[in-house]
Order: sequence, then structure tokens, then C-alpha cells
Amino acid sequence: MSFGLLYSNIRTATFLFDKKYDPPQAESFASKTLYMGCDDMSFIKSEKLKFEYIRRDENGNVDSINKAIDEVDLDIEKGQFIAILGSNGSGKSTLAKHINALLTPADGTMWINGNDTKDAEKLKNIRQSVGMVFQNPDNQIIGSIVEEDVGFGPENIGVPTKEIWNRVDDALEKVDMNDFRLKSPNKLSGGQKQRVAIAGVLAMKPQCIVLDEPTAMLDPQGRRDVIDTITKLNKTDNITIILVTHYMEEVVNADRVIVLNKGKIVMQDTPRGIFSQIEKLESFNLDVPEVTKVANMLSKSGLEISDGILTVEELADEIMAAKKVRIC
Amino acid sequence: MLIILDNVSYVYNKGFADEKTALDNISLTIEKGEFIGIIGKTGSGKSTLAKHLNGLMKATSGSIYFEGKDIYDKDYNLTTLRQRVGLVFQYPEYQIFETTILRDVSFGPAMMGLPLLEVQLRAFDAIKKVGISDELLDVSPFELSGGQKRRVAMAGVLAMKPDVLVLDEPAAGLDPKGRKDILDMVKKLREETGITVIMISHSMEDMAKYVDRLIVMDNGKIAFDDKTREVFRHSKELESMGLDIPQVTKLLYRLNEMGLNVDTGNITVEEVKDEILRGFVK
Repeated sequence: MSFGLLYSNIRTATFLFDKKYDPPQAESFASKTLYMGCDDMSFIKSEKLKFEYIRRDENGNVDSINKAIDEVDLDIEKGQFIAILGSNGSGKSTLAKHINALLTPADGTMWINGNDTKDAEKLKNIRQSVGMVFQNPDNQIIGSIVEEDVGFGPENIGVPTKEIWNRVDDALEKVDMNDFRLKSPNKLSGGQKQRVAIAGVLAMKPQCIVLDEPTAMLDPQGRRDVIDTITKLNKTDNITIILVTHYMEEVVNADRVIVLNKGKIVMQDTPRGIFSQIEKLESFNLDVPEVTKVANMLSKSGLEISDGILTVEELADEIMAAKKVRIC
Repeated sequence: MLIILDNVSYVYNKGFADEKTALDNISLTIEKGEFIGIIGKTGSGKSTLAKHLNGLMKATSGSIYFEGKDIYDKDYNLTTLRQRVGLVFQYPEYQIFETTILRDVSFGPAMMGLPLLEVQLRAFDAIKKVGISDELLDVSPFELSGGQKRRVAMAGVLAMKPDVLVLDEPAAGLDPKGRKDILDMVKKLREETGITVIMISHSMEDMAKYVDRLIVMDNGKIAFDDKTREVFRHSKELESMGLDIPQVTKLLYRLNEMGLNVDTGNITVEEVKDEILRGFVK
């Protein structure tokens, strides 16, 4: 895929050829109940979603079919923070790409804000309301200075200049990168580049951001900054967050964790509910945060510690409480 | 001493406006058989340092000795050095290009001009060492999963029979199981062959679990170079360098603050559990 084409997919999709700016219609959000299969609350909904990667030999005959997503039902409300876990090849990224219609279902249906992703006329609406951030920041940045990069998306959909600058200011403020606005992106660290990529998505005024392993290539500081940024966007701006990750520590703040295995949803619960099932997670090639492991071992050694401990603070409190019980 | 770095500095774009010192007077000795970790935030000079170890980058000033010989000596054979110090870059699976796994792994030794039989022996051996099954020898490497592809790429380096293996983020992008598998494989390889391993990683937990000695890079300088658990005692300094300590060690710090007497020099899940139980007995 050429660089330009990839980029248009990420930020602006079909808008590249559509110069006339058409602001999102408030009515279209209010009237979502008109669409079949979508109730009042759900922002992302899928029914029996299926996707297959089909390999063909030289003669065009089907060689093998790999079911990347196998009958997945999703129901995600607006403003939620959802984490998706799964081993390599479990279908996480494929599912993520369905949420802004980079991929469309082979079978079943996906609705974003009531819009069926297979409906070509709705693509514009969908991609404007769902932004995507990928793993490698270097593949997502094209502007020669930060502010230009952030303004690229809105400029492409024909937002008036003054409004573009407002959006750029606002987006850079939200990811705390204002001090770097005139810097060249290649002078930034990985974490800073990812925050610029998030700002680029924010400038499109999305209702939802899908992040596919955004911290995989970052150092600890970069990882903290990116996670803090998306948590803040979720809490203060009510942006729906879908975070795909391999780092168990990053999902403890999520409202809900979805575990995928071989294209199917195999677990779906609060982080606490998920991480109290260590053995089940390990059977899916996953893991729990280290502090959860320690908590589990201590509890097996006879200390009074609850299941599904998620943070250092929680465990420290429980240990001190258990200590008191022992002393009395 | 296997490798000695003596006051090594490297300056990118020397003499230009954007001149940047990536390595600033680094002095370091590496013994045979060590398992060394290098941490540091983005741009601290970790990868630049790694590329100096096999002469891929040449220091602006200072000297590097491999087995007592100056690698910048004009008679020194850098080709041999590069076979003996194998460098596995980040995401090495992107460097795979051959049609079958066997051919890909054979490429290195074949380029060394070894006889065909020796090339194949080495390739078989390397593929076995990284835990890829014999049945896959004639399969295209592109049909493998991410973790398997990475093993094949590593086998390609191992087939050159290096004495030193330098790994730049060997587990990046892998799921927890894949991460553990590949690091366990490196550990086993080192125990069985005595190979010296130098590993760059952003995961403090992996460092705590696997490496004996930890070098911390900050702004092109070595900030700490000590046993792993000693380095993690500097939690404040590490945090100010954009780094971290293992989550379980943080727990010990927290417990200390709350009045439980535990030693913060414990860095793995097992150690921390034992230390907390000990704290209860005290």
C-alpha cells in the first residue's frame, strides 16, 4: 500500500476527493434508532461478525481460509473505555479495523453509531466519528512540523482555515504537546509521536478512538504518557476508547475487558473479573499484571487477600490490613 | 575480557547545526558469558551503543577492543568481527526475504563462504536451537506467526555461530506467552552454549527476570552499571530518566512507606512474595 493511500485510510478515508465540507449532522445522531439492530445506547454494535483472510494459489483457487473473526457480537456504549486483549493472531487488530470500516465484515453486521459499515454512503460518517492510532508512530506522521501534521486531517475534509487552527490548538492542548507544535516530528520521542498521532485524530473531532497497540514500541515514560492521555480523553471529553494491547497493566482502568482467542470472544468482564482468572488467561497465552500474581501467591500462602487485585496501592492496603488481623 | 569500550563517543552530524552527541565517553568492559541488559529512554543511545559493538558504526573518538585487539586498527578484519558479534535488530522478521526457512537461515553462513555441508549443518542446528520444528524447514517463513518469524530471523544470526549475541528489543510486539517463550529460549541458549548476551529492552520486568547485569543509558552516558537488583534500588533516579522499576518492587517501596519492614532489593514475583511473607514473620 502506498504511503499516501495508507494515510488517507487512517485519517480521512473517502474525504480526499470530497472538497466540500459537510459538518456532522446532529440529527443523524439523534435519529440512530431508525436503523435496524441498534438500540438507544450502543455506539458500536456487531452481530455475528465474521471476517476471513482467504489465500489463493497462482490459479486463483482458494488455498486456505483463515477465520480471523468468528461470529463476534459486540455492544459498546458511548463514553466507555474498552480494552481488547488476545494473543498474536487472535483477531484483535482485525476487529479493531472493523470499527472504523477499514475492513468490512465478510458476514454479519457492524454498526457504528447506527451506521452499517457495509453501507458505502455511511463511510464518511463512520470514519469521521471513529479515529485510529496504530502501533508504529513513524508510519502515521507525514507533516514536516507537528502542527501541520495535526491539521492534515481537517484540511483534507475542507474545514475552513480558522476552524482548522482552532482544532489544532485544541487537540495539541489535550495531548499536552503544545510546546512542540513547531518542532519536526522526527525530533520527537516515540511517546511524543504517538501523542501527535492522537492529536491528529482528535482534530477530526471523533467520538471514538481505536488504538491498536499504541505503546508497543515505547519506553516506560512514553507508555505512561500515552495511557494517561487516553484515560484523560475518556474521562473529561467522554470519548469512547478502544485499546488493543499486550500490556496487562494498561487495562486496569478500563470499564470492560474483552478477551479474544482464535477470532472469538472468550472472556468479557471488568478488569477485576478478568484478572481473577489467572489460569484461564494463561490458557489463551495471556498473563496478569505482576502485582496480581504476587497477590494470588500470597493468598495461596494463607494471607487474607481478595481476588483480582489490580494495582500496587490496592495490594499494599490489603497486605497492611492482613498484617493487622495477624497481630490482633 | 571479551569487549572493552574505552572512552567511546559518537556524534551524529558532526559539524552541522543539528549535531547530537549520542554516546558521550562510554567506558565499559564485557566478560565472556555475561547476560547484560541495557535500558534507557528513546534517544538515550542504546541502539547506537549496540551498533558499535560489531563495528557497524564507527566511534567519533575512543577505542573498542574485541579479545584484546583494537577493532579500529586498519589491519583488523571487521567481517570476522561481525560474524562473531551477531546483531539482531528490532523487528528482525522484516529482514526475512528467502522462500523457505532453511534457505533464509542458510544465507548468513553461505555468505561466509563455508562449504555447503557446513552451511546446512549450521542452519539445521540454529533452527533447532530457536525451537522451530523440522517439519517447517521447507515452509515459507512468511507463513509463520510473528513470534515464529522472529525466531527464524534469530536463527539466521545464530547460524553464523557468534560468540556474542546483541538483541535489540527481542520481545517487542509479542503477546505475553510469545514474550516469555523467546526470552526463555535466549536464556536456555546462553546456559547451553555459554554465549554472551546483550539485550536492549523497555520492559523492566523482563530485565528483572533475565539479566544479571544492567546498564542504564541516559543522554548518551552510562548512568548506572551494576547488578540488576542494585540498579533497581535507584527508583527516583530511574523515574527521572523516563524509566521505571518493576511493578512488584514498587509494591515493596509502598509497603515500606506504610511501615512494613521489607527489603526493596527484591525484583521478581517470587522474590517479592517471599519477602512479604518474611515481613509478616518479623
